[in-house]
Amino acid sequence: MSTTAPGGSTVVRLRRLTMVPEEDGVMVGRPDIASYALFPEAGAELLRMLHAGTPLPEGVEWYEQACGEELDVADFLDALDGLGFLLADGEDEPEPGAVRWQRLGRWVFSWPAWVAYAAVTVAGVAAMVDRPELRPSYRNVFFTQYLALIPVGLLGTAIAGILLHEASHALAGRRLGLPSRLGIGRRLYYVVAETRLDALLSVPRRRRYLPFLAGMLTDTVVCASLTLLAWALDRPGVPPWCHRLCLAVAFSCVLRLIWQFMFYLQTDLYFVVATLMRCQDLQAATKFLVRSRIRRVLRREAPRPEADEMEWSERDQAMARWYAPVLVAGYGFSLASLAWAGIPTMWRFWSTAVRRFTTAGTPVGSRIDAALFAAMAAFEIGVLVHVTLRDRRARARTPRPEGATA
Amino acid sequence: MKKMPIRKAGSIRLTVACY
Repeated sequence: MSTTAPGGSTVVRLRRLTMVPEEDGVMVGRPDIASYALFPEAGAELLRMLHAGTPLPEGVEWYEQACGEELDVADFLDALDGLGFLLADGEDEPEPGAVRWQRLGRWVFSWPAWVAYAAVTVAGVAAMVDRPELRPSYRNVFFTQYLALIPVGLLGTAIAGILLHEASHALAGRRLGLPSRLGIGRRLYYVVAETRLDALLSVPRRRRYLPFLAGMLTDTVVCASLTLLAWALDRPGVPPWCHRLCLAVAFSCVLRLIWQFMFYLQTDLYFVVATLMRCQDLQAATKFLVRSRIRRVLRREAPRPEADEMEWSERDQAMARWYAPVLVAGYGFSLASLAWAGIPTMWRFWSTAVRRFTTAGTPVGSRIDAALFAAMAAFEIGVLVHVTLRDRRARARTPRPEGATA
Repeated sequence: MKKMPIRKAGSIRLTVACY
């Protein structure tokens, strides 16, 4: 057995790593590249020793005595390299850069700000109780008699609302000095904006809840603020579309909040629930469980249990048995609503558009209308396909350890 | 000789649907 580091040295040079004790091990990671893995207690202690300059053979000897078993050192070093934890020969650890917007994040979540948010929310709810016309309703969507302006107005304000929601996740993380990245992702057939905040694994669990919930808190405060603004603008001398537009946007905030309750799609509330249940990767563990059961029913070969069982903690596997029916029911609901409403709607739109092009004598205006619709719908489908292929390629590039394919 | 049981963590992606 060789106990030398890459390059033949007996000293392993580790990058700056964070370590957070978890339910069944220690979460070790690099926030700057969002690379994290759960190590056993003794493994984390070995990393601490190596970081302090203990030669590898000495550290391994300590580990083997602590665990009572011989360690596969080559595999251990491979795993560290794969996680990006090793410094190359001659490479120095750069000084940690400050994350941008940290001060703004602290200010947005300071106690005076919390008092203001609470006051606005209470006032907004009081206004809704007092004035029924201020309550959220689908009728509020029709803020103008010009039908074409409705989707344009709602799209513009939705983009602003989505960016505010995601920015608040990012700021709640950045006030803790944690980097984040904004991107586009997919949940089943929904295109979603997503803030990647893996760096939350560098802080204790109780500090993760506010960044998880920051988006929904923002949606709530924005909804209350717009309701109050609508109330203030509903007076003679102000064009009526002003207060109606406020109510339309407030209603879209409510829709965003409702969407978060579909937590089988790994929404913000999923992360709250999974963290409360002290799980590491409940969604992946549950998907694996469901896939295994389906294969068993179909009498097909089970997906490599030995390698895969290592993949998730006992806690995740126990909770997966409870979560599996929720996941299956949720996916069933989403797919059924797609089949019942989404696909027929799309079919009608597309068949109408095609008919306008193939029917002689269709007015030019109708053809332009159909072409614009086709371009927008094709763009949206293109985004969905692009995100799906991108994620599939990314998964193929970074296989999980232990040979699982979750 | 035994491998150290190291589990790669799932990622945290906080989302909002694009209507």
